[in-house]
Amino acid sequence: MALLETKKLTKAFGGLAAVSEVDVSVNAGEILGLIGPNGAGKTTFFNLISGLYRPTQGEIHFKDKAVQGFHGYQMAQVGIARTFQNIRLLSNLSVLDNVLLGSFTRGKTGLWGAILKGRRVRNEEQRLRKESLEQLTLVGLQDYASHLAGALSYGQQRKLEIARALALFPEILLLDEPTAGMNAEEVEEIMALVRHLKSLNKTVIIIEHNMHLVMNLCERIVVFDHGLKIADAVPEKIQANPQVIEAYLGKGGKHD
Amino acid sequence: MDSLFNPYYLNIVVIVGIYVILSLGLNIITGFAGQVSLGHAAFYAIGAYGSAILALQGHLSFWLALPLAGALTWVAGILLGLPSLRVREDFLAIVTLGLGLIVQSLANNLKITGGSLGLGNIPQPMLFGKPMSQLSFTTMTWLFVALAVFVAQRALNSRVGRAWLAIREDELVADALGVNTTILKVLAFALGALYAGVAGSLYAHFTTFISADAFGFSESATVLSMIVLGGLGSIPGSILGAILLALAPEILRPLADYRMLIYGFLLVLMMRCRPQGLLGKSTVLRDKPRRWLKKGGLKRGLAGDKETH
Repeated sequence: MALLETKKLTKAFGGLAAVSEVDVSVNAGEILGLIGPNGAGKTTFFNLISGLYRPTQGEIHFKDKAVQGFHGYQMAQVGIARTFQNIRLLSNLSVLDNVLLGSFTRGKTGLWGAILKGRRVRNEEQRLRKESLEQLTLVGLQDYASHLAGALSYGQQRKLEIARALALFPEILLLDEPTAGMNAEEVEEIMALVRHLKSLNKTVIIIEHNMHLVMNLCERIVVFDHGLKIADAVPEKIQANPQVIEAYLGKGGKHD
Repeated sequence: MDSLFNPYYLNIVVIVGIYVILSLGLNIITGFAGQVSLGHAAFYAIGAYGSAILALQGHLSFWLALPLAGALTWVAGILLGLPSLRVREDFLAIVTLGLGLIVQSLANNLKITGGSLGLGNIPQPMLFGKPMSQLSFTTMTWLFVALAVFVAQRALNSRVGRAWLAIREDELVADALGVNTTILKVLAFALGALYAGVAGSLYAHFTTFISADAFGFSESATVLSMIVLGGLGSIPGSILGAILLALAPEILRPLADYRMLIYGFLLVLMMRCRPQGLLGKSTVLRDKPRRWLKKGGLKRGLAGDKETH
């Protein structure tokens, strides 16, 4: 059974369909790659399934429940967490606070509870702090908990964003170009992290331009071009798919 | 020693305390949750008039009127927050500005608020069957300040406070992390309004006379200046800002006509030299080069360059 399924999902900005009638299904425990040239609609697709955009048409089913039209926070509550293509940390807050924010949906404390701060609230706060530190440890940032998020290096910031998304304990993790701008060593670290997530049986969708990573990590790859899904297969088949090659490299020119 | 407790000084200490509560409240809305409000005096007015009307017409004692005024402004905060918080930033500033004007002109024209004559003879609080002395009123006001600080601190260092900061820093990210931004913004608005309501009730029963003039735009702007001066988002900053700006007109009193000029000039100077406020946490962006220099980043970098080239 598919964990997440989109049916004829469409998002149009004015006359331009950034995502057009896309059917994608994601199975539980799967690492799915999402590739395509710039402007293909990959991030728009993420914005749709994370609730930041409302679909123009089409359906999104999560665990057999129709969730199209949900707000971002509702998608987060049902279990879809994401990172952003251009890092969006709360750079004036500490590293730990950033991850703690990711645990927002797992807490219950309201305003009055926070002011009275009874035993239940204190226990919850302690539990969330402990679990947030675990997420930081997972990405190797446990020693930076009290640093300002904005003071971290670029690669660390990307990892922190992943830790923050993991703090939601999501059913599906959406990674939007997690290795963009990273050096080879850092890419390897991210790959190891995704493999680790795979071993924990997490479901991950990755938008990535690094083909080495995509071909090695993903069990299945979906290819977008001009808002349309043009391929959906295992990595070996994608590599040999003429339509995909054309989308990336253009039509072969005729030599005289 | 007697002179320290003279009525003029105590009067100022009470008014300063009331401004501290007002600033702490606005700091929750603007400093924590990042929602600029130019109409904070509206809630101050609702609290003051609410409390005064409950005492005058409902014949309630101050001790009942104050919490009821707080509850009233809490509800008013929710009701006014829901529509106004649908818009953001500059637009929100204009909407709250409008709200402030609406409330002030209602106070100026409604029968129940005494119209432009205002409400007089508001009963002073009774303590053990006697009207409260000025000294005990002063003490009570600052006990409310202490409570306000405590509540703001607790609220900030919690799941709710973190969500407010997230909304302030990046609303889209807050949304993606599962924060219902509308509810949390309204919550900040309501709590800030509650503070203003308590401040308003204290003010009404302290001066025993209120009129719409005291709740105009300049009042909202003053409170906003206080938290900006002290440092947006900082609780000690809000207190310091309120104390400084509430005292400034008194301290500058000998300068007579020049005092507003100097007051304004100090604000401009402040924003030029320390935009994050007196006690505000500086933003990373501003501090990055400085911290980098402190670590010797630049020197080391240059030295390294020399060695390699």
